[in-house]
Order: sequence, then structure tokens, then C-alpha cells
Amino acid sequence: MFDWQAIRLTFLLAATTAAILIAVGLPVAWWLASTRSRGRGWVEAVVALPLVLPPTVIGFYLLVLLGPRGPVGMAIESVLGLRLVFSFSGIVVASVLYSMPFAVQPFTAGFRAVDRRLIEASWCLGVSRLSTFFRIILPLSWPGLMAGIVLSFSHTVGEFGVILMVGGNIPGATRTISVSIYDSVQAMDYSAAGWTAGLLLVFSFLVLSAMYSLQTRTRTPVWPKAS
Amino acid sequence: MAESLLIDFSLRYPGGPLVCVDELRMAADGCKVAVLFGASGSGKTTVLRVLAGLTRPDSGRVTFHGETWFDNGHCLPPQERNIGFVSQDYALFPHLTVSQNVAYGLGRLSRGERDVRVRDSLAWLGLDEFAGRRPAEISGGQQQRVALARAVARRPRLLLLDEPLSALDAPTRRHLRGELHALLERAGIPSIVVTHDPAEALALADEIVLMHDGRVLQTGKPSDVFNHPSSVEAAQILGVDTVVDGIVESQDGVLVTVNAGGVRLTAVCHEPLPAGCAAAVCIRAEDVVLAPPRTVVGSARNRLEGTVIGAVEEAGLVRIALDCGFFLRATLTRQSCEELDIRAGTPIEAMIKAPNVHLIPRIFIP
Repeated sequence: MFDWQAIRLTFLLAATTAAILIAVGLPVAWWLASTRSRGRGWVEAVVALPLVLPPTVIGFYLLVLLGPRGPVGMAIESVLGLRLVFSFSGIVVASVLYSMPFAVQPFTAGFRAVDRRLIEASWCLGVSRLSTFFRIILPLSWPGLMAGIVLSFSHTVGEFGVILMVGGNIPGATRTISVSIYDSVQAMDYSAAGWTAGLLLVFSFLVLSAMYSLQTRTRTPVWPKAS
Repeated sequence: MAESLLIDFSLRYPGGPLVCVDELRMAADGCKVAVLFGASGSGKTTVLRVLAGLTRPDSGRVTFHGETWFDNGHCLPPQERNIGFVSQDYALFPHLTVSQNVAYGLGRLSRGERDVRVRDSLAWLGLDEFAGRRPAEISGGQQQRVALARAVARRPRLLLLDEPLSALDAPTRRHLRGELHALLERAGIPSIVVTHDPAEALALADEIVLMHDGRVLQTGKPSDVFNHPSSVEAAQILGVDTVVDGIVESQDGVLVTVNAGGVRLTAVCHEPLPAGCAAAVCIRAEDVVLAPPRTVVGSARNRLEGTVIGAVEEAGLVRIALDCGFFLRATLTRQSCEELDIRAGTPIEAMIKAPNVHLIPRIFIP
């Protein structure tokens, strides 16, 4: 009925991607929310690119860059002995880049929602910048942070084009739910495709309704429009 | 009085105004309250933020009791200044309770000491019953006291308050004005308060620093600054109601005769003024007495015949504009207005005692 291997792999991929995006996305978002540098617009544009580019374009560039003859792929293979294309690590890298705006934009909105004067008040009370981040900024921006984590997770679950371009269709390594559905349809196995598609539909609906009820409750705009 | 706080800096906002404070010295010790007074945009909040370490000047020097807070390149971060800063909207942490807010800056104390300190601070400001509430659940006046408790709980060396009462409604503001003065005095911490409200300045200040256009115009005791503004700008900011250009005609002891727009006025001035010297003549509206023409006798040196131009009711009093050869403002109670039948065109006599005509000498005309 269900392609359990693909489901397990998909959720492992989504969890890994979300974890990496917390580590990478939070500093980027903090920088975007607090800088007055002119470079901000460029960085914001780069982060938002996956929202407008077709997945095939991103997949194509990643394939070229990460491939065994690409500059990044060659370097990684010679240093780490790791081949990124058509492997799980490869689709993790692709997912991180592809889901970046879904983490960074809500993170940034969450940080921007924290009143600057509260941060200054904390400093004037003798509390260090780092401590202020954990005691004031994180608790007050959590709707945005939660939104970023949930959205990047669920967006990765629903990814298709980039995975297929970079990872192909290797069961247990790169064959995610969406690739499995595509595969089933190609093989005219509509029943398997239907079950898996239904699962994805229910999952996405639940995640989004949880998100929007959270948003209504906190009344903080956590999901800005792509600029 | 030791000059324990030296402020000397300049700061230009990108594409905006310049704030430049030249060697301002203040006695920031004991329980003295200094008020930075000026209109919005005069730079007073910038001075406060520079003192807090939140805004970095372009150049200059700030020292406090011999400790350098800012010296050109070097800027001591706010965390290391040991100050209490209360911003205009109090900036209470919304996710923490009142007592957690007060305890927030006391991380260095042991838990026991911290609890005692929080309890004492809350009791001192009568906030005990709100200890467990969130900021959103208490009134503006209570928030203001929580912000003060939070700042004072750390026993800072200097308290900085930015428009401490402006976020409150008018009755609460009037009520808390007196209370705040008593609290600051009891805290025993030297304080610097920013305000644009003359009543607040008069109520709180031991010393006034008058600011305008990013510069300090005048400093001194409140009564000195308000009654003897050192320049026309100072007089205008302080709300002296009538400022007329005049020429000094003669001086006899402390009595000066000055010609203001063709009208002769007698003023009191303790400085020698040469005849022909230009001076701004300042008269407060509340110092003007009105009477029907040529009927009243009295001691006032200045009697001016004129007509009423208009009258506006304002906060229970009536502000009246008169033409006495120059534009003169007066403030009367409504009853007096009715008795005198004040309306546009009413002929009237305005009387001003000589000591209430304040002269600010300007350019010298030979």
C-alpha cells in the first residue's frame, strides 16, 4: 500500500534539512533582521530565489556544481571521499538550498517583530548580547521560528523536481515520497500512487492548518509574501 | 559641587540633523535630578542614548566620575556602565511577569539576595499585588513604576529617564509628576530626565539643561532658566508668551525704559544696558492684568491701552490676544473674562508690573 522506505527516507531528509536550516538560517535571518548594510537586498534576493526559479533550474546548477566534474563536487570528493550527486547527502544539500526561503523568511519576520527597545532595555540592565538573544529575542520571536521550522520541514517533504535532478530515483537513498508517486504513475500503478499522494495531502493540510491557527493566535505575521 | 559628568560630543545622523554638545558638565551625584528640556528633535533623547551607550557619537568624550564612557574610538557598552535606563514606553518584557521583569537584571546576585531585592523594590513602589501579572495586565502608571523598579533594583550609579510620563493620560501624568519627584529623591540616585513638558521640567528638575536644534542653549536652576531665558530661542522654547523686539531707551538704576513697537515699557534689569541696545522683551501671559480702560488705579508701572483681537478657552482658562501697539498675550479665568466682557474689539487696558517684563539683550546698536 505505502512505500514505507520512501516515507522513512523523506522524513529523515526533512528532519535533517530542518535541523541544518535552524543552524544556518538563524544567523542569516538575524543578520537580515538587524543589518543596515546595503548588501542586505542582495542576500535577501539570493535566499528568495528558490521561490521563483523552477526546481529544474536549481537542480541543473546543483548537478553541474556538485557532480564529480563540478568544482564543488570535485573538492568534496577529494577531501571527504563523498559523492554528492545521486546520494542522500546530495539531496540534503539540495533541500537545504531549496527550502532556505521557507526557513529564513519566517525567522527574519520573527526577529523583526521583536521591539528593538526591549533589546536595548536588556543591555542597559547589564545583560550581555548573547544572553539577551536567548532570554528576550528567542522567546519573543518563537512564532516566526516555529513557522520557519515547520514550513522548511513540510516543504522538503513535498519536494520533487530538485530531488529528481540531483538524486535520481535510488530506493533507500534518494527515492522520496514524491519521486515514488511519480514512479508509480509512470508504472500505471494508480492505487499505490493514490495512497501515497493522499498521505502527503493529509500531512500538508494538517501542518498548514496548525501553522495558520498559530498565526491567528499570536497575531504576528510569520509568513511574509515572497518579495 | 563636583562636576562628575562631562558630556562633550558631536553626532550627525546620516542625511539628518547634527547633535553637538559642548563640554556640558553636570553634578551627577546625591539625589540631584537634571532635566534635559527641549522640543522634539532638539537632541535631548540623543544625549540620553549617548549616556546609556546605545548611540555612538562620531567624536568627543563622555566621562562619569573619572571613568571614560566614550573617548573618540572607544565606547563602553551599556552593560558595563551600571546605569538605569527607562525608555519612553517603558520597554517591559511582555513575556515575563512584573517580578521577573524586576529580577531580570539581577543575574549576578544569589537567588536569596535577588528575591529580597525584588520584594523590596516592588514594596517600595507599592507593586506587591501585581508581582505575578504580565505587563499587558497592568495600567500605564503601574507599568511606569515597574520600569522604574526594574531600573532601580540594580542600584545603578545613574538613572536615565526618557519622557517618563508622556505615555500616560493627562490626569495620571499630573498625579505621577509629583510622585516621580519624590521617588527619584528617595532612590538617592542621580537622575537625568528628558522632557518637552515645561510643567514636568519645573516639577522634577534641580537643574535644567535647555536644548534646541541639537545644542545646549542654557543650563541652570529651573527658576533661573524659566524666568531669565538667555536668548530669544530659549524664551520661545520655554513658552514665554510674548516676545517683542525692543530698543532700550534709558536706564535708571534697575529700571529700564524700553521701546517695544512704539510702546514705552518699564522693565527691571540688573545688568547695565546701553541706550540703543536691542533687546527681546518677554512677558508671560499670566503676568498680564486686564482692566476696563482708564478706570483702575494700581501699582503696575506699565499700562497699555489696546483692543482684544481674540480669546480662546484652553484648560479652564481663557487665553487672550491683544493689540497694544504690539501683539500681547494674556491669560484670564473665565469669570474675569465675563466681568470684563472680553470679545474681539473690546477696548482694554493691560497692566504689567515692571519686574515681570523680562529683557534679553540682543545685538548692540551704537
